[in-house]
Amino acid sequence: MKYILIDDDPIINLVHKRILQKVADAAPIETFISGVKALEYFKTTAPIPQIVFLDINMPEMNGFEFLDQLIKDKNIKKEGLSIYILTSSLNNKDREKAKHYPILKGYLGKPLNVAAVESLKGTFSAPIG
Amino acid sequence: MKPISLDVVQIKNVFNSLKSTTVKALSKRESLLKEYQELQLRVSRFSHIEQQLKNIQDKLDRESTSPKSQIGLWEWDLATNASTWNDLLIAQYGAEKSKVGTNFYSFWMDSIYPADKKEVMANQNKILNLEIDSVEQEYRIIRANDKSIRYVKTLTIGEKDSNGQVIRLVGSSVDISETKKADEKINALKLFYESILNNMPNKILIFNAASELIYYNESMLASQPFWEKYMFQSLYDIVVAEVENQVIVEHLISHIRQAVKTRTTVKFNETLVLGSKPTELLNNILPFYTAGVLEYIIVSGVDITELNLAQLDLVKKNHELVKVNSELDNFVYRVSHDLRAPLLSIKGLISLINFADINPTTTEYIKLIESSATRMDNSIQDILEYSRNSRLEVKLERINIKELVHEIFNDIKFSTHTQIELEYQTDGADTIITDKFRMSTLLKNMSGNAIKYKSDLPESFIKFHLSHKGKTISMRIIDNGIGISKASLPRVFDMFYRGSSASVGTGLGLYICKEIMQRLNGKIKLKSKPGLGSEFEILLPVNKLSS
Repeated sequence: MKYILIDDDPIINLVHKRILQKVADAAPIETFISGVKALEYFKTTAPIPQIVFLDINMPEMNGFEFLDQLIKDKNIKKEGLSIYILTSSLNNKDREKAKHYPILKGYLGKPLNVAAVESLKGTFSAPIG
Repeated sequence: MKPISLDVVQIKNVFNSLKSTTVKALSKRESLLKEYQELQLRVSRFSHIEQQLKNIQDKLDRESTSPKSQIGLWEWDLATNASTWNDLLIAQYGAEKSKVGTNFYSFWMDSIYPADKKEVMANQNKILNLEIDSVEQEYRIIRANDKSIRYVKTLTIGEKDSNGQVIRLVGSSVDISETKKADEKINALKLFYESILNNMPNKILIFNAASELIYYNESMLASQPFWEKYMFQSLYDIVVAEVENQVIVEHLISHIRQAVKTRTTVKFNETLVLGSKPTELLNNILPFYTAGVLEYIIVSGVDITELNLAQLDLVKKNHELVKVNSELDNFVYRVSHDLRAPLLSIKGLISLINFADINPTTTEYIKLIESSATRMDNSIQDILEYSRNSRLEVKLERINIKELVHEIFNDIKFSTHTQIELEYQTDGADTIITDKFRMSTLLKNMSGNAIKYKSDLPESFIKFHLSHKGKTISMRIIDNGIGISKASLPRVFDMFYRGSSASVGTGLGLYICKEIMQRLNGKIKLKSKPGLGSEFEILLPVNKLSS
């Protein structure tokens, strides 16, 4: 299993990385500062269970555009992916829009905290494993 | 000289027909008068006819049912200056025989309305001077008894001898005041309606059942002057004659046909180029039926050019407003997001610090940094909520209060790690119809306050009681927190008011709640005792969803 962080802010990526490291499962963590780079990664990676934290407001490709591309791309296997929105947006429109993406497992506010990740892990299913 | 007997027979015939005619109705009275006038003309050529006339007078007098509706008769012999008159004539003038005496002539002169006297006298002189044989005229008299002004219609005939000299004047007189009054009323009414029709902005044409133009108003002529040429002409002739505006007339004909065919009002829009500027007209064709028979076709047009322009302008402005509002909305979100992002990084970094490694003073500073960052984040969120509430339209939808309360409560409990119990009660349905964003903001602020200002007691609670009271929905939010001091109570809903410098809030939360209730046409009530807790009651109207 792997954690994937997608956020254009390197500091918050660092914060989230450290928090995830505190969760005692020692799973590897990959961080991406753009959706484009993350897509490239998914295209070339074997479908293993991965927990993805995705920011919404990003330059070049925002979180929803990333999801659209991901869903469209037939080369990417989505079965192992558990994707969560992780945002500082207070816009209800974003929250409502997220409801239209069945691929999403949840909608979280920044910053992550250890307790939140622990409780999420309880709901993870591992379809491939 | 012709034998008299012939005329007497004629007189008798006419008299018989007179006898059989009731004289009550106005129109009949007129015809009676006419017949009698014909008779008078005929008999006037003979000098010894008095007896027959008297007979008729007597009969007429006896027949009379209403003195007003009868014919007054008189004659004046120039040679003897003797005059005779019937009782009806005296009654017409509101006098009595005894008072008038023998001098009816001077009584009559005195009775004529001063302004009319000159002309009456002039006409009489014309007969006497042989300029005319007879005169038919209308003039006013002042009645002797009640001094009222009456209109009379009279016929005066000069009788001539074989030398052609006037020897006698004979005359008749009918009181036509009632007809006159009715006519005046009808004329006044006609003027009244015409002035209304002429002064209204609507352009009006009226056609009769034969499609002949019988009326146009000034407003119509101002924009389509060509109609003036075609009064009393048929639309089908007009369409041929009016080459220049043939299309307008053709359109009108086709719409009139439709209106008459369907027996309903037909509306249609029309753009005319009058002068240099295009004019937009909204036309209305009303086929007017009386007892099921088509009587008139009323065409009425309103110039809606200005209205259309104003409407277009309004639509454009509204569109711009929506755009500006949506841009502002995005801008506010963007700014709030960009302001929050570094704050959340700060908070995240602080959460990574291992406080065991550092000295207590640094720990204290870091905690203060964290609380400042939290406060700033709260301010940003509150300002965002305030801005949204004041700008966005109220959007009603059916929402489940039970679910909303639990969702909000769990969010806050989760993020603040607070130990507090939630109780939710309802006396009916969990759902109400209101604005979801505003209700959720309101409940978030209320729950947030209960948690922020909870007491140190171990059993802190927050209770939501939803009840449906007829046309009002009541929601009570009760806590056993630290409560609000009596001094603060009246001011807690003020903008930026904070109970003490130790308050962790921004001073916007309850102000936003009050503003939200204003937008939702609701009320908010507060009871609180320091040390015991607070109870807010929200009163909302029962809304209906517009389908």
